[in-house]
Amino acid sequence: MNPKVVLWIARKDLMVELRSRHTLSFMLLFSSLSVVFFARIAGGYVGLAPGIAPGYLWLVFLFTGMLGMGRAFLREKEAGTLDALRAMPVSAAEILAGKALYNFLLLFGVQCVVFPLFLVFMDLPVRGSLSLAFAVLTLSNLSFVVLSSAVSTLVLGARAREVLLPVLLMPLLFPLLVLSVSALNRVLSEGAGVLDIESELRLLFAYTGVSSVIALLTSEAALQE
Amino acid sequence: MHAVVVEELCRSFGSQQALRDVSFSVRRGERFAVLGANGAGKSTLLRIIAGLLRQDSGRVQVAGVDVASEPLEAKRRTGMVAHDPWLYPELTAEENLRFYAGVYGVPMSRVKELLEEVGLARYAHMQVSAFSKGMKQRLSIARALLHEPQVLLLDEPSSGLDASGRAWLRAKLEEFSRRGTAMLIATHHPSEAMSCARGILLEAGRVAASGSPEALLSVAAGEGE
Repeated sequence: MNPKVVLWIARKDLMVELRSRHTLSFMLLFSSLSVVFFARIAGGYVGLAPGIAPGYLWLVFLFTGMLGMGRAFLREKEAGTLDALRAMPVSAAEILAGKALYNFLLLFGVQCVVFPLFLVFMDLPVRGSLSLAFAVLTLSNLSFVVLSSAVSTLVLGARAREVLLPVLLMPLLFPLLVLSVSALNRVLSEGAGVLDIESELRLLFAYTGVSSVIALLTSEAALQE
Repeated sequence: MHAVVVEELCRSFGSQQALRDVSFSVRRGERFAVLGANGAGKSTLLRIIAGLLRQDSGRVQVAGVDVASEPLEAKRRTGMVAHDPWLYPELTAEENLRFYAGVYGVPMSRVKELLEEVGLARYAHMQVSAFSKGMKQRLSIARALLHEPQVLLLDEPSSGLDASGRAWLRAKLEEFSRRGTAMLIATHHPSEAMSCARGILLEAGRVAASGSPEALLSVAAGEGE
């Protein structure tokens, strides 16, 4: 895999997004609204049972991610430029990696806004390290992005792709959500350190690695017309 | 050595046979017409040669490289001007070409060179969304020529162009021919076919006739009556 090609594809997508702001602005708006709604509806309960907070946080990311993730490939498909990418001497794995990197940067941007918003609005009693919680969330988002980018290539040719994407993605994301929520919960409400959540982190790394390998191996067939 | 060799090419979409035993070859620097009505299989043929679509059977070679077994190498030798311009409307003309140049690994000096060549140097910093159809077509040709391909595939290149745009295109294609670039031009316009040395007439995916454009047009006219 040529990292320069991956970077060029991600850079181009970022430039297109920053010019149009079609996806990022909606993702930010939707995620911020979700945080405010959850805080209004469940804020009182979070104070009583802080363990449920990471679950709410993940719900925000899940819906926001699904709103924006599929757009990277869909936009190319609608504009006809997916063919341009496929007509160049680049592998499907490089295209997928470029798109995944762009999606990750997008979601990371959302994470930078939503995470502090969530802490403030939920009025969460934080016992552990915020930077460790942020790192766990970043790793989980990386895994989420890899999976959702890969699945969005699989549904590109389908008629009801917008509906199909979340339906296919949800079961695949289940192990990731369980691990991430558990690790975040232990860090935020129990004050756990890196060594305390070592098993969750190991599994998260393994899950991200396995997802990446499967995504890269299936990319050629997924992008084939 | 032939620039393009197509042997007994077949491709079906479900029960619909789009190409049946299509065979021909194109010499270096030759302009070769692929004539046929809409739905005759012209675009499918070009997409297979460009490596965008896989054939069911048969063989395609581009500049001595088999497209099915060495797709990336074949794509390095091929440029395509498709129906869609394959450009990002949010980016400027220069940014579009810089992206493609980056992925192809072509020096960035080539971008300016090509913008001059297609007469768009003045509009280098204008967003493509503001371009006319003719300007997009010029930029699309520049995009296809960035990596100096040995074979240029053009799918209805003059569609939507005005008289001056068509004259410009004709002059450019003559210039590329002199430089040794082989060109396959899929068209249903007699005038476009007449600018070629030889060609084939496709009907329902079969080669109905091959030879000079005059002969092809008379066969097409005879069958149309």
